[in-house]
Amino acid sequence: MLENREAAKMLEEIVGSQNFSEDPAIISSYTLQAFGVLIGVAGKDGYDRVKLGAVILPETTDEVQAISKVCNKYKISFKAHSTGLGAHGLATKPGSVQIDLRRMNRIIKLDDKNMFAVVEPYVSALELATEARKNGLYCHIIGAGSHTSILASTTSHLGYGHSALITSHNARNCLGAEWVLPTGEVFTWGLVDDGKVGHPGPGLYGLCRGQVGTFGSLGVFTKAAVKLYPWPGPTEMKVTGKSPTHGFEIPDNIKIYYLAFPNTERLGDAIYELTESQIAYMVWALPLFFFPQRCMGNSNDDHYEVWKKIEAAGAIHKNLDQLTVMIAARSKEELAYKMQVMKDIINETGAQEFLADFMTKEVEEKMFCHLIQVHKPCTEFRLSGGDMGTTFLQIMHFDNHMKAKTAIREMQKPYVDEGVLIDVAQESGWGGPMEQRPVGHMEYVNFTNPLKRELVKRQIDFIRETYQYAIDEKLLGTGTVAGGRGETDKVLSKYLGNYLQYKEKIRKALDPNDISDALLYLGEEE
Amino acid sequence: MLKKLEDYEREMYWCGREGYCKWVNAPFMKSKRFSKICPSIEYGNFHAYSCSGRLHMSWSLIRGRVPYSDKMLEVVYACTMCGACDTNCRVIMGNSISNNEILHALRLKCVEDGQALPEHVMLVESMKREDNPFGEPKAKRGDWAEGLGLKNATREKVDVLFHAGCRYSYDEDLRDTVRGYAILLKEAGVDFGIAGREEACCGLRAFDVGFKGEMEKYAEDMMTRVATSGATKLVTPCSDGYSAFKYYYPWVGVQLNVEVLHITEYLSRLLEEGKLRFEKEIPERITYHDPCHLGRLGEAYEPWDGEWKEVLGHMCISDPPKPLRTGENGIYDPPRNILKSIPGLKLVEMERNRVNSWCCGAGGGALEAFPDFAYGTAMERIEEAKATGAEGLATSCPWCERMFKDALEESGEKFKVYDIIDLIRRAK
Repeated sequence: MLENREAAKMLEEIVGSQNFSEDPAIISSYTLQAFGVLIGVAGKDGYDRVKLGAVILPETTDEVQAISKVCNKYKISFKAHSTGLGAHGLATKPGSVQIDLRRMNRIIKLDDKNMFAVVEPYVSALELATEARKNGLYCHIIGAGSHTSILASTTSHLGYGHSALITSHNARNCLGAEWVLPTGEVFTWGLVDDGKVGHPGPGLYGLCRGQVGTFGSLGVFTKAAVKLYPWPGPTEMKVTGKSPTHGFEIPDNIKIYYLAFPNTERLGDAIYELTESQIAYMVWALPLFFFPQRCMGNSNDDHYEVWKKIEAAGAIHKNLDQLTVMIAARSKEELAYKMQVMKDIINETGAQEFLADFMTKEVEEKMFCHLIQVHKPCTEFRLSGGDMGTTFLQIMHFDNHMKAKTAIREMQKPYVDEGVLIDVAQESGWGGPMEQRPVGHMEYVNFTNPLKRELVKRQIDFIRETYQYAIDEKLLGTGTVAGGRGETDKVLSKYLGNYLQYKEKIRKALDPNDISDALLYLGEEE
Repeated sequence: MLKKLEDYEREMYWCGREGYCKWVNAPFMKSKRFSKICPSIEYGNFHAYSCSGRLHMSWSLIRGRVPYSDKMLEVVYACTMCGACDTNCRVIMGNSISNNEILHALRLKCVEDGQALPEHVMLVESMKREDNPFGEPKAKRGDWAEGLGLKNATREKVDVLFHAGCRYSYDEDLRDTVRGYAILLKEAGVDFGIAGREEACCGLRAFDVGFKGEMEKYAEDMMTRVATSGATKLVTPCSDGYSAFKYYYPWVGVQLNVEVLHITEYLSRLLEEGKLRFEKEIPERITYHDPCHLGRLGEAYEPWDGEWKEVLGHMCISDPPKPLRTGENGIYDPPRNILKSIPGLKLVEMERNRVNSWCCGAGGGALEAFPDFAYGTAMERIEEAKATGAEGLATSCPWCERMFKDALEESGEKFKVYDIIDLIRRAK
């Protein structure tokens, strides 16, 4: 409950009693969220770091602005989230107001000619992709999955999905936004309004989000213009298979290659060749361990059964350096050309068919569906019981990525031997190139029992070790710290131009009343 | 077997708020307009109204961190218990979380703690008094069959025991429908009988609002009636009854030891055997609404009393393997087969169909306690039906039919709603 009853009354009047709640039961449903322990916003048992004062559901920008002004007047901290996957959007100050943007859920504009859409916060990536596909377009869906907010990933967070080769990633797809600043002022730029054109540019980009995003720590984004990209497939996909893991029939103009390379170096070579030739629509590395989970079964039980079969077939070691390549063409001739180039790249790099005895037609259709809809990544949350860790989220050249990949495999070993991390046969990195360049994102997922605090602490030690490696080897790319932990910022800032100082200045300028919830933006206060 | 809410603590933590309980299964999303799957959060909007929110709220409840409140009870009960969150969550969580079981366990706890809603207490009291949720006289239960000359299965041996269900037994508007089914079975030469005034509610309406004792009692009654009748098949036109017999009774440990069939399954068989034929054309575009209790919740129950163990470090697997309820094995094709067999009738699908069907709003005690929510849910489905260009909607559940008709009347809008038997009779 909010301490200031006058403020509570004013907030309730803004949205109506149906959309404002201080009830402990309502509030309790907001406080258990994935990554909570890892990013330091959860309590001892992974739950209830703070008691929120209230939850509020605005429907318009005016309402968000009014909420912000009331919070400023009464010095009440607030934080907004959109679809709410991950604790990054969770308000962390005691007695603060959690803004749930669920009621702001419209696709305001889908401009197929100029290839962009204007959306509100609660439009999911898949909702936009579904509507865009009807017009021969597609949007970038981040790896966190189809039901994440497209606005959140473009304005406030970092994410990277299968199609980045063509669609870049959403931090770079923002063509405009409407932003309610912590003070309650509304700031707009770019394509979010009719008649305006342009891009925020690097200065404004750094101010409002930077590479990683502010996780809702600097006001509320209420609209975003998002870039769309050509979609080469049919406007409606034909679904195959049975619930719960369905597939899509693969159209004739699309070919997918599942490749295994003799070593990491050759995998890196293939990525350079593929980006140089610009023949692919998707290039994505997914660790061997996660194939059974994504497309060869429906549960951990199935996953483990398939994994044992892969192990028994002696297929683990030779399939660790994996790459999935999708090519798409508008004509038979184009397809033939691209297939020939693929053949050459395969020959040059010594690639073999990935998991040859396991990739049936059914499995390939399921994987194709997953590549397009990005609806299976959240299966990671079921592996060890509700949470996961990820580290080394970097955007850099792939020769550096391959170097890091090799090193992180070795770093994982002792943690697996100690019983901290799940044994994923050492390979846990996924990602791929973006914008047809040999530059892209890789991250390394890791899993322990999230209910055992001492194990989670050791998991964090592993994550720190990977960042220390990046510091020591000068492999700090531009996407560092996307895990969203302000504490990590403090370690890394001095190696990256003291960016934390700039963030502190930005916050002081935009939030003079110290209203915003900056734990994930600046880290714990000293 | 029934577990307590506390027994699901680990499953509650397993939910990472990925949102799959809110949206249609991704491969089936066809538009933003019909992209949602949970009526409850569309009504209440706070995360607590989603299954994920209820799991997290339950976590707090069992730890004594949140007290009961009116708002909390609204969150618990403003849900139609349609099971969509259960089957959709499987896409990512597999067999790890049993949403439908947890939502029921939450309601059972509320009732145990004396927190039942007055509207639901009235419903259960009616059952206790008259063996039906409407409080209608038990003595009149068999009146619907008057003049049909049906066998009394409590006194005569039959091959098929026909369970009419509460809605068909007492709803005057639906009387022709249930009589139509009985006439059809007679014409096909089926050896069947009814229990008449001895028939009782299946009890699912009580179980759904947290009263387990009532359903357990009715399950025992039904087991006795089946045994007395000597029937090899139990056929019902009520999808609530079907779900109770197939899924909920085994869950509470009662096996009826008889083949359970929904009437559409049975008629579909007769159609295949040539014992049911259609002569007349119905030149209409019709869409079919999958009742939740016939579809997702019509899948047979498989018990599991195992435990979770860790392999490869901390990967959780079930031991013995926990059955995976997908909803895929409910009754979806038989009603469609019937409709497709009617000359001239063009069956068109709504965007959300089969496992991904949107609920009608009538279930889970929502209609009794939160009628606006139930009506709104029904009208959302009507909008979806209209969007197909269909002239009417057919269903095979009396609760859905009643819900749609009442919601249409309340809203003043017009749209044809049929029970499949209405179309069968026109086509014969």
